[in-house]
Amino acid sequence: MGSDEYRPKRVPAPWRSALNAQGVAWLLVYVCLVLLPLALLLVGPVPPGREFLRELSVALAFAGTAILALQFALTARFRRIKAPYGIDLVYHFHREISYVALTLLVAHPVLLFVLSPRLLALLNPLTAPWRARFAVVALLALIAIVLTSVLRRRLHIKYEAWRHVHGILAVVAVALAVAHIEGVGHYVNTPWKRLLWIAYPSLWGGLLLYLSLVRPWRLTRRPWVVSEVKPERGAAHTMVLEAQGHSGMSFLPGQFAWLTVGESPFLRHEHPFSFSSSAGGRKRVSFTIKEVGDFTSRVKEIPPGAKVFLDGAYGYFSIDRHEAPGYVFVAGGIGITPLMGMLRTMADRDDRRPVLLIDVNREWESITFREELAELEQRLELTVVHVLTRPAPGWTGPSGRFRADMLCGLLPDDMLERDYFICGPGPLMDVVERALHGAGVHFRQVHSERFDLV
Amino acid sequence: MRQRYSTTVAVLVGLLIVALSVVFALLQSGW
Repeated sequence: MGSDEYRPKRVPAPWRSALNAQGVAWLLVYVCLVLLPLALLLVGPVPPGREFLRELSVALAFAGTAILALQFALTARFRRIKAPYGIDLVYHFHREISYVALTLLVAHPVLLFVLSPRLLALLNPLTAPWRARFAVVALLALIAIVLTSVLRRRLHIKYEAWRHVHGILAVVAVALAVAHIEGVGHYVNTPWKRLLWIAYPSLWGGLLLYLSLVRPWRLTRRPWVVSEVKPERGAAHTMVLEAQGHSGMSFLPGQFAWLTVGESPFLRHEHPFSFSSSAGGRKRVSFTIKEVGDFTSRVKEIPPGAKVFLDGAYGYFSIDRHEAPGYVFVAGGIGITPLMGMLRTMADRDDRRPVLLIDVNREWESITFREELAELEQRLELTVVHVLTRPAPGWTGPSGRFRADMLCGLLPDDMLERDYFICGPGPLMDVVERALHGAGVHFRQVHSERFDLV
Repeated sequence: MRQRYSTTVAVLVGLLIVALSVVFALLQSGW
């Protein structure tokens, strides 16, 4: 490969490449939804104006509260909203915009204190009026939400417990913020404005109720049963499920579903996993799960016949969503699962487009699907390159920490025409995304999906 | 990298919201 092939192409501006027209439209809808309830406060009888800083402080707080209320919508799994971005970016935006909300809501009292320091007395819970107590507790709840999310792993909080606490704290924060608004009452000075600021957050909060009650109820009507759980290399297990009394689930290769094991989906003990089976079989599907946490370590103990509920399919990490003349897959450890789903689907369809799979694992023995990948190499236009981070003596293939130059040395001649699917641990994905960007691969040709958001 | 873009978008959305809050405050404080 000539050296000039690595010359970076013109790098598109992030906001142009990250967003298509549909994506921009949803963003504008989002900004309007944040500011609409604030703008409506200027309709009808408006209270007399006050100092600029005081009005700014109030506006920031209204906007911050609206952002908080809309957080429920961002995680409510609406396929259409997630379509232009991919679910990982929506969850990431949910997290990043929460910092914006926190900043706005902290700025609210700070600006007021700057304007009149005597208001600091409102922080004393013994003497403060209820409206101020509500505000303080709402802000503390918000800070707790952010801290428990950012530090979940470090604080050893279990995913399920975190999820329940996250939902409860979110409802508490929004409800108390609304109680504060109603208690102060300056802008909600007419019955309809009062109602607006109760109804609007309740509407979005209602989505949480929908997600906790209506959706699980619908899932109970389409149960699945475990037909087998078989061990795989790399401390993983494949759970094979069969549709019980219904037509199964159609999904695209590489997509994922939320999986609940047990008698009831109402407990929301659900976890997202990628389908590892071919998209050709909708009544018999499989998920390959590595033992990394509480739930994943118990997968091997799930007996055949156990009931499972699937909410899906979700995700844009799929060759069917991104047609290309050829692909490069980069897998890190168990990140192979959605890529395996795509390869198996390609085999079923006799799809002969060229695929280079770079599979990064710790050691030879821990390569999940190693034997089947070798078989698929015979059946497909597939080249598998194994990279071992801790190889045994005698290994002659690429080894050590996966680096950008290692990737660039492996890429095929038609690298600029191919689409890239990357799935693995965050640091590996960062290395690969950065290297591809540097090598001139267009942003839109690189697809990755992350689940380690919290 | 995709996530860095989503951070950029969140910051831009945040700045837009602050700018429009400033407009609200200017209107209300009688500018």
